Amino acid sequence: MKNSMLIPALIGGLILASGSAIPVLKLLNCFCCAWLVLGGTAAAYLYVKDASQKISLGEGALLGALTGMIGSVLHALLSVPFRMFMTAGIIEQVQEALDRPEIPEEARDFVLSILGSGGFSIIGLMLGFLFMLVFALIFATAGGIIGVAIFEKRKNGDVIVPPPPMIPPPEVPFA
Amino acid sequence: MQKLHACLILFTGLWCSAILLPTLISADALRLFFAPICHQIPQRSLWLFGKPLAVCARCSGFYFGFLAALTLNFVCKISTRKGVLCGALGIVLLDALNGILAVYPDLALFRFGSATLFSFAVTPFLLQGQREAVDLIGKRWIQRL
Repeated sequence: MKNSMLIPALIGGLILASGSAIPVLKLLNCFCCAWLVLGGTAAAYLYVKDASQKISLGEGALLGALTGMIGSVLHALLSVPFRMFMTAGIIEQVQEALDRPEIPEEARDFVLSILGSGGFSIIGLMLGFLFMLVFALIFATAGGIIGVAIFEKRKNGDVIVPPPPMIPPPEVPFA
Repeated sequence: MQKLHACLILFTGLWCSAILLPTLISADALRLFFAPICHQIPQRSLWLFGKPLAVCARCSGFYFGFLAALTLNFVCKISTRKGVLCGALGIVLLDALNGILAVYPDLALFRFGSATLFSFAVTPFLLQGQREAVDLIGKRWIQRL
């Protein structure tokens, strides 16, 4: 019997999300979405390791897609504290940039009204989630397939039989 | 299944066009679109018409190599080879490591070439995975009905 995909997908999603949300670590995503691919690959490794039958590349693709979906939700949740922490600094930078004389008055008022209304962070969060969902679905699915291709060593029909449960020896009456 | 393969070629073609487009016209929105997934350092990018592509040389190698391999697989089916995949992955990782260690010259051509090689090795696996996933989803739908 094959195991559930949920636990490997959750662990892979957590790797994907934490790597993509933590400020310094997320720079690794500049290496062709490494965290997204790694999340899918890690989920595939865990799934293959615990499975009793050969896992197909198709299952790897579905596992990767599930990891991408879970990862993008976790990323949205994890990035909120980092965004709140970073937003104050960004607002200061934007205000400094807006003080330049070449910026039109209307543009300055518009940006300041968005910053003041708090819409900046919500719109940013929504856009970030949508972008992450699209990219995570593509790259984590690829990661899931690559993970199964690399870690699955069984041939078709190979089944790992679990060892029989240990039965304690019968008690010998004291002679 | 051929239709799905054709759709994949079309989507990848659009993706690659979006990478090329900023070299032809001023399209900052496209550069911004690729910013979360690539560092876009001009010194590490391929240049066309005096402008850098929207992604770096290695990413360009992955995407253009994938497009070429997809098209080649559409014409003649290439079988999956795990040894080739592991070898190509090793070359990409070594080349990435060379960016830090600088054992040999860190040229855009090497980064593009190693990534293209990896794309050619991985594409048959991705196509087989996509076919099997569609079959699995189809079977589950039929079981539910």
